Amino acid sequence: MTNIKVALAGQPNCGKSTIFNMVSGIEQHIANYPGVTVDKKTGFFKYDDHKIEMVDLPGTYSFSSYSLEERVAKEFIIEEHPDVIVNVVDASNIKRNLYLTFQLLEIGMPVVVVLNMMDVAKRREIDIDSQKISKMLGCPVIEASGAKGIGGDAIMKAIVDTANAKNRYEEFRINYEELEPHIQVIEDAIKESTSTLNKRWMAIKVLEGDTTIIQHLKQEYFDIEDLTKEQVDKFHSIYDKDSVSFLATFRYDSADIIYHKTVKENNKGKETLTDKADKIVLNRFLALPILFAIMFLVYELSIVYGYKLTDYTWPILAAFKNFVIDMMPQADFTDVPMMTDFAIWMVNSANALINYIPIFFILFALIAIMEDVGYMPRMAFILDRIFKKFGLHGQSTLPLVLGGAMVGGCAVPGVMATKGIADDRARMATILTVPYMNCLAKVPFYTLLLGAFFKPDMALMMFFISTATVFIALIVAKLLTTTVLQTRETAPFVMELPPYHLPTFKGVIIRASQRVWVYIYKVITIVLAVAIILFAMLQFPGLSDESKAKYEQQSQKALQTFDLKAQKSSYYPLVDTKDEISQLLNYYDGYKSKRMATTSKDGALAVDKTYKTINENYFKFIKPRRDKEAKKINKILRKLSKQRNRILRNIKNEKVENSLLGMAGKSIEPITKYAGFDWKINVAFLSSFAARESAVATLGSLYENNKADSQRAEDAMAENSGYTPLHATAIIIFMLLTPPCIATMIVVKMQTNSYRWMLFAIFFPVGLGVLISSAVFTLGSIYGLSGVEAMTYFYFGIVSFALILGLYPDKNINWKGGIKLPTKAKGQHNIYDKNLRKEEN
Amino acid sequence: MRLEQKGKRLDSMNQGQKVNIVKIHTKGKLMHKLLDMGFVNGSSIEVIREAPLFDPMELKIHNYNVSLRKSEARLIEVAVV
Repeated sequence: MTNIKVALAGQPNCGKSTIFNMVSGIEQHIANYPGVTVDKKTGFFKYDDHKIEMVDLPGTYSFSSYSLEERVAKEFIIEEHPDVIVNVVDASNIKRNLYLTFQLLEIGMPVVVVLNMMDVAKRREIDIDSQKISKMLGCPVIEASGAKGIGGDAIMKAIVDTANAKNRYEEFRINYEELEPHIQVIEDAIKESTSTLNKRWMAIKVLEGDTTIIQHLKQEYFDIEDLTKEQVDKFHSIYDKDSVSFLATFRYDSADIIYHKTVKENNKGKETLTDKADKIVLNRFLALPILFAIMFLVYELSIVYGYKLTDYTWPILAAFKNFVIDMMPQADFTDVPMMTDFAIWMVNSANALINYIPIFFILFALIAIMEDVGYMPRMAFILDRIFKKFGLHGQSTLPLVLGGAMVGGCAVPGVMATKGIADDRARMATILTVPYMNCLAKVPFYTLLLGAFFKPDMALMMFFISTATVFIALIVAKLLTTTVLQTRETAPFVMELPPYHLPTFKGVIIRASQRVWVYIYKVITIVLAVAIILFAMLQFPGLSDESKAKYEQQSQKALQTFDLKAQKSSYYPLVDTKDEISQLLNYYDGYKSKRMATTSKDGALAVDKTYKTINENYFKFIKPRRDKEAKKINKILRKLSKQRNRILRNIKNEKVENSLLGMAGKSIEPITKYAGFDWKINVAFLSSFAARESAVATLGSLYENNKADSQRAEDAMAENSGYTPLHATAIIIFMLLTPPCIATMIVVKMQTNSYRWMLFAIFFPVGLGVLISSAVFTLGSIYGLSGVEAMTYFYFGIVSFALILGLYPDKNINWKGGIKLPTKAKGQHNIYDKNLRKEEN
Repeated sequence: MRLEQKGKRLDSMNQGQKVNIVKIHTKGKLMHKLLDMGFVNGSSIEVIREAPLFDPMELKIHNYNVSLRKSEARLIEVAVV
């Protein structure tokens, strides 16, 4: 059994991943290439007594170092020395694809060419003489169709044959004619190098200004750059040609020769299906409506229907919660073990996140479909002009929509969808602005505040809330790209619009599952760790001794009252000790929560049955029916349960107030008071960082009125908080700006590959939020504005600001950088920029 | 103004026009990217359409479609076929 290492290379849109999925099956391993956020997929399979490890290199048009993907792909080749390079070529677009093939052949490692999408080529009546190509290039050429599952075996066989024939490999070389003497000079200079890479290839790459190879050689030849410059200048002075474009032109000409000798297009010039479809999809008048319709559909299917789907999955999670609670030690009247509290808190935190999995799965599948179909670059094409104005990219559309362009979305898939954005500055700006979009979990919070303070203007306020976020995101993007992100690399917008393709079911499911899995193991685990910390911060230091005594006294009193009244019932002997009463109460609460988790009649009957078998007597107290004596107990039991809940709530509130988090909330009151926030709001914001859903629960419990239990949270808040609608406006504005949750921050960390950016993504929006909501609140107080008025001013303020930024003409040069040597980088930019400016004048 | 005297620029071409690349007036990263995408001297380009908001533009080169912002198309000198 021998091991063969294979690198799978190919241009974007050549169907490389369908080939990868076809040969490697589902045994795939995903990681990142070291230090970068580019996915590295590895597949393992066996063929004919050979173990094959196949690494899917990022799709690249070329093999220079001018993009992150290209650098990553080349570093893999340099460091890992694969036995065979498999080059996937789009058979329906051979000429451009062969440009990369020539570069791969030059590396000096055995190459297997796979002509993919042969079915598409046949449909378009493109005849390809693959044997002739094989002869001309001196490497095996396999015809295949990844989407149709054709050619898998032939590819594996070719890999094995090629690997076995490795020692008979003969170096591939292109005769670069007038450049040859210069290549020779460099090759001679590095003749003694210990590098195992092909010397001629390195010489050519150096003449192309390839930084990865220059760095590689610099360890041995510190003057390699000067030497190269000398040759490049010499070549330029003799032939008036630039070596970089000379090499590219030469390769294209070579590709052209192959194309003309082996390919016959019988339908040349005829409109393809893609051409016809694009006449509609990219039509000046129809493009935008179609784009909005597709976005709306994606939103409906994933967020709206996905949310409905959670109606079916939620009972499972609720059952899980009940199961965990049942396992925990039971409460002894008002004395709830911390263990139980902790378990409930953790299950709640986990459930809040797991609940989103159906939504995410649908979303990721839809994204995969749009990627495979080829709609993504078209979306970028349609909207680029708008986004460019704000320092973003056409490709920022989807992440922002997922983040919540309408009533609510989720920043987690939004940030994850930024991966494909080619322009690094725009990608960073998108990652950092997606969290401003409308988070679905914040909606209940807004509803609570609107219900409490803006009953007549609810619709207007909701409109402001759901549309303000887009403008805020655009303004922030502009702000960031002109300041902290200014020095970030940008990429020219030279983007292929590939032919439309039908997605494969397998490919879509694999990708969607892989992304959901990333969410589960990366995000949920960390959120749970944060939940533990938050729990500790809410629990400690706990109640003072006096308070403990006070609550003890209260519960004693409640028990005594119960005891006194219970004596009148003939069932008294069943409830004459504290243990029995506690047990009965737990039984009562357990029944209530299980009964509430079921919606069907049969389910209710089943719950009744189980509780009857647990304790028939207790069941009588819960459902006394005609039993007069049991009814007495039922009445006082319900009263006792209410009293107990009130005491528990008071204990909880006092605990929260005295807790570390409560103290934190109070300690920042001096700052937040300008925005009108008291410590309770601060605690709600702080404690809901694990999941925003809990903000409502926290506020709800902090404001509940002890006397009227049936009061709704909205009313309780309106009556008991002492807030005015202006306070509520400031709170809403702050909530709009705060980052959604810790899960989002973890994906920000994953996508930026930096903790510093993650911290920035937390503190910048919070700072901005405090600033703006303070301004609104303070100005609103001075001018005596109502809440709705303040919100209206705020809304039109940001809308006009965004419009001014958008309409302001910008003549900025929007590409810069490149992966260059750190010391020279600056100077090179300058020369380059100067040339451009000269040209523009 | 110097540029305009030299020849026609790709960004001013209309839908359906076919042109050949004469020279690309840029360097560095953009030059590399354009070369890699097949924008080499002498290649023929057909202007397919403008985006609905008039920028970027869609081109056909080497039998595939690519989009280019006008600010970048301006740097490509062309001759009408």
